[in-house]
Amino acid sequence: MAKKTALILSLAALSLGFFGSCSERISPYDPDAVITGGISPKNHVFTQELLMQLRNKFQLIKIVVYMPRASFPIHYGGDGRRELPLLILLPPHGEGADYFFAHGLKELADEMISTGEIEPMYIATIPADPAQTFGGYFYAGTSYPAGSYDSLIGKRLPDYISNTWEYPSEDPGLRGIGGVGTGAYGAFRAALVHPGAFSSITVSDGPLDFDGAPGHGNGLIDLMAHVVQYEQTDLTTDSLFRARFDSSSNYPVSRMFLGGAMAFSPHDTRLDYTLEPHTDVNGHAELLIHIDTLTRGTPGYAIQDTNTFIKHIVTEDVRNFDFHLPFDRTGQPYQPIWDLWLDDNLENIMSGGELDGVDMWIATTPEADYGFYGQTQSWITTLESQGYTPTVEEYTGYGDQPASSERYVYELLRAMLKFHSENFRAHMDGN
Amino acid sequence: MGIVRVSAVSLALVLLLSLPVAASGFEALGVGAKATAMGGAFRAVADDWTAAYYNPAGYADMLDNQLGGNLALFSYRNEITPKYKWGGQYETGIINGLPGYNVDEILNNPSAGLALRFPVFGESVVGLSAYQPFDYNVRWNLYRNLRTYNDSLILPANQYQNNFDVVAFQLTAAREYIEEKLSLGVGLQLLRADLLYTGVLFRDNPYLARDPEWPYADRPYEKITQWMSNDGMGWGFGFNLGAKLKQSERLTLAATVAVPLDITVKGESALEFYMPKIEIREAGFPPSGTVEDMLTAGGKIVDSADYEAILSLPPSFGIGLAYRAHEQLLLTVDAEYTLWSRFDGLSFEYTNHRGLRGPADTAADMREFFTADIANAVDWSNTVQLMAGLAFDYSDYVTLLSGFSMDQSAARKDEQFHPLFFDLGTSLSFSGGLLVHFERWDLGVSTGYTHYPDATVEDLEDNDGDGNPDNFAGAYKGATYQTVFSFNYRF
Repeated sequence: MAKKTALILSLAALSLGFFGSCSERISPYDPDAVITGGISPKNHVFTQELLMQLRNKFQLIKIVVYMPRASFPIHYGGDGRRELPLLILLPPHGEGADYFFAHGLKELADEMISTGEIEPMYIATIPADPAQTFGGYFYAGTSYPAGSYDSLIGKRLPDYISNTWEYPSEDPGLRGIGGVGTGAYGAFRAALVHPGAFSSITVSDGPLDFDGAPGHGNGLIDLMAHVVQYEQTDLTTDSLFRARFDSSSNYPVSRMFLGGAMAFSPHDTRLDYTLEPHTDVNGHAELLIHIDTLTRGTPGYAIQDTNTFIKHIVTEDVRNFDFHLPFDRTGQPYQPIWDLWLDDNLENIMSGGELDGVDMWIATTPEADYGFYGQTQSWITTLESQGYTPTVEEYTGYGDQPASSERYVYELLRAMLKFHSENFRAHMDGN
Repeated sequence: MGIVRVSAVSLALVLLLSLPVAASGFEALGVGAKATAMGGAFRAVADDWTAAYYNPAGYADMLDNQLGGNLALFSYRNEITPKYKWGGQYETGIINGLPGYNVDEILNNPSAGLALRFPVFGESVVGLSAYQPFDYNVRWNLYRNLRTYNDSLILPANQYQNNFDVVAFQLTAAREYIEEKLSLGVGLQLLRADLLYTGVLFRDNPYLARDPEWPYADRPYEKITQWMSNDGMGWGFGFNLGAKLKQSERLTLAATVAVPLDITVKGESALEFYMPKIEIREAGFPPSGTVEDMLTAGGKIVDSADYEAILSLPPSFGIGLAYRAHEQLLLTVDAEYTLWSRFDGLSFEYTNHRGLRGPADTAADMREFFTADIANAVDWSNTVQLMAGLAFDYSDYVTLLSGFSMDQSAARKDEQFHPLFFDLGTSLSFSGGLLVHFERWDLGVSTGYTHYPDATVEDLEDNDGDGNPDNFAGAYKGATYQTVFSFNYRF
C-alpha cells in the first residue's frame, strides 16, 4: 500500500511540475490608449497693456493653448455653460510661449487626462517677452517699456481665453496660475494684484524675495556683483559705468536685471508720444505713434541723480527707453533705485489677505540658479508668517544631472497639473 | 527502520548540513532525466551516457554499449516589479510599479550521447555526446518611451533578451585503473557558443558635452534610449576530468574538474537609437539635417556593425558520494565549486559600422557616441552548489528518483542584479522522477522546480561609470520549471 501511495504521489508531483509552468502571464508593456488633445496658438493684440512695449509695435502677444479632447465636459457653470478649468503657465525669463510644451506639457496633459489622473483643463502659456528684447520684464509693472502685465495676466488674458475658446471657465474657482523662475514671481504677483482671480498657484524657484532674508541669502543683491564682473567694462567712474554698460548683453543675469529695470525703474515713466495721422498702402487711415524717449517734464519716479542711468538700450530705435539699474559700478545696490525695485517685491505688494482661499504649491531645489532657492525659502517663510500653508516640495537632480537651469520642469509639470486639478475638482464638487 | 523512513531521514540530514550555502550564473539546469531528478547529485553514480557531463569516469563502469538522448523542457517564470528611476525618483521609461514577466515560453534543450566499449588499453569505453553545459534563454519587455520623450516610436519586441547556449561536442574516454576500485575518465570538448543578446541602454545625451545647459537635453531628454542586438557565435575548447573511487560495496566517491576555455564570439549587431521627439521647437530651429535637428526630431537612427565579445566561462570542481543504504535505495550527495568570478560580463567591441548617415556620421562627437562599444561588466562571485538525491528501486521495472539542490547566486550583490542574468540568491531546487526499465530500454521522466528567494534592489548602480546603469532596480521573484524526457538503450 505504501509503495502504491509513493508511486501515485510521484506521478502527481511530476504532473504538477510539467503543467505548472504553462499559464500565460500578461505584462503591462502595451501602451495605454491616450486621447490626445490639441495645441492652439494665437497671436492677439492687447493694445492697452502692451501699447509701448519695447520692440512690440503691434502690441502682439503669442498665446498657446492646450485644448483637451474633452467632448464630455461634465461640469456646468452657474449660467448653465459647460466649462473646463483654465490654467495659465508663465515661463521663466528669456523663454517663449512654447517653453512648457517643449518640456512635455501636451504629452503629460494627454496622458494624465486620459488616465483620469487630472481633470480635463485648458492650459495657456505666453512668452516672457513677446519681442525678445531683454527676455522678460518679471510679468510686472505698469511701465510703458515693459508693458502692463498686472492687468494683462490677472484680468485681460484669462477673460480673452474664456471668450475665444469655447470651454475655459470664467469662474475664478476654476482658474489657476503657475510659473517657473520669473514666471513664479509673475504668478504670485498676478494673484496678489488681483485677489480672487485664481484659486490655485503652483511655482518653482524664482525671484520671490528680491532682498532675501537672514539665513536665506541676499536675493538679487548677491547677483549684482556678478553682472558687473561679467560685463567687464571699464567701470571705474560712474560716467563710464553709464556709458559702457552693455545693454545688449547676452549674460542671462544681466538681461534679467535689464528687463527688471525696464519694469521697475525706467528712467522716465512720463512718456511723451504723439499720434500722427497716416494712410497705409491700402488707403486705410491709421495713426502712427511717435515716441519721444527723452525725459520731458517731471519724471514719474523721483530720481534725483543719474548714477545708474543707462543712456541707450541695445540699438537706436524709435522705441528706446532709458532706465536705471538697481546697482552702481561697484556692484552694490544703489539705494534710490533699489528702493523702487523693493516696492515691487512680493512681500511689499502683499498687504494681507490677498491669497486667502488660494491653494499654493511651491517646488524648490538647493540646486536652483541665481540664488532663487534662498529667495523661495524666504517667501515661504513670509507666507507662513501670514498664516498660509503652501505645499512645499523640495527636489534635487540626480547623478551628473543637477536640477539647475530649470532642467526638471518636465517633472514639475506633472505635480503642478495634479495640484491644480485636485483644487479644481474640489471646487467642482462644491468643497 | 523502513526504507521510506531511511530516505526521509537521509534527505533531511543533507538539507540541514547544506543550509549555509546556496546556485548560479547561466549554467544549464542539468542533463538527463535520471541525474536531474536526483538533484544533479550524480557524480558518484554516472552510470549512463550523461556521465560525459557529470563525471567522465562513469563511462568505465558501463557494461554495455549505450545510446541515449533526452529532451529537457523548461520554463523560466520570473517576475520583476521595476523600480528603475533616475536618482530613485525620475521616470526612465521602464514600466515601474507594475509586475512584469519574462516572455512565457517552453524552451527545449535536447542532448544525446553514445558510449561504446572497446578492447583498447585493456577495456576502455569511448563516447561521443552533445549537450549544453551552459544555457540561458530569457526575454523581457519592460520599457516603453515616455510619451514626452517620443510618443511615435516603439522598441522591438525583444527589448531585453539573453539567448545564450554553449554546446559541447565531447569525445569521452574512460577506463578502470584499479579493478573494481578506481576509474578515470576524460572528456575533450569542442564548444560552440551561440549568443543573441539584446538590451535597452540609456546613454547620456551627447549634446551635453557641447553645451551642459542645452535646453533640449533637459529632463526627460538627458538620456538617449538605445537598443542593441548582438547575434553571433564562436568556437572554443574545453575538457572534463573525472575520477570514481569505489570505497566499499556501499560507498562510492567521485571528483571532477570541468575547464571550458575562453570563447571569442563574433557576429553582427543592430544598434538603434530612439531620439527625443520635441514637438514644439523654435521656428526654423533646428535647421534640418543638423546635429540639433537629429537630437530633437524624434527619428530612429539605425546602425549595423560587426561585433566581437570574449566569453570567459567558469571552470568548476566537484566531489560526490553515493551510498547504497539499502539494496533498493541509493543516496547521493554532491558539491560543486564554480569559479564564476572568471566571468566578467559581456563587452561588445564594434567594428565596421555601416549604417550611420548624415550628422550621426559626419559630426565627430556624434559618431563617437553612436559607435561606442558597449560594456556590460559584472563582478560575480564564485559559487557553491550542494546537491542531494536518492534512487529507489520500486520494482524491477520502476525506479523512483528524488533530489534537492541549493545553489549560491553568482550575482549576489545588489549592484549585479539584472533580468538578463536572473540569479537572485540562494536558490532551492526540488526534483523528482522515475525510470521505467523495459528489456534494454530505460525510459525516464523527471521534473524539477527551482525557487529563487525574493529580492529587492533599491538603487541603480553604474559600476563602470559610463552613465548606463549596470543593474536593474526592482523587486524580483523567480522560479524555474523543468521537465526532462529521456531514453537509454543498451546494446
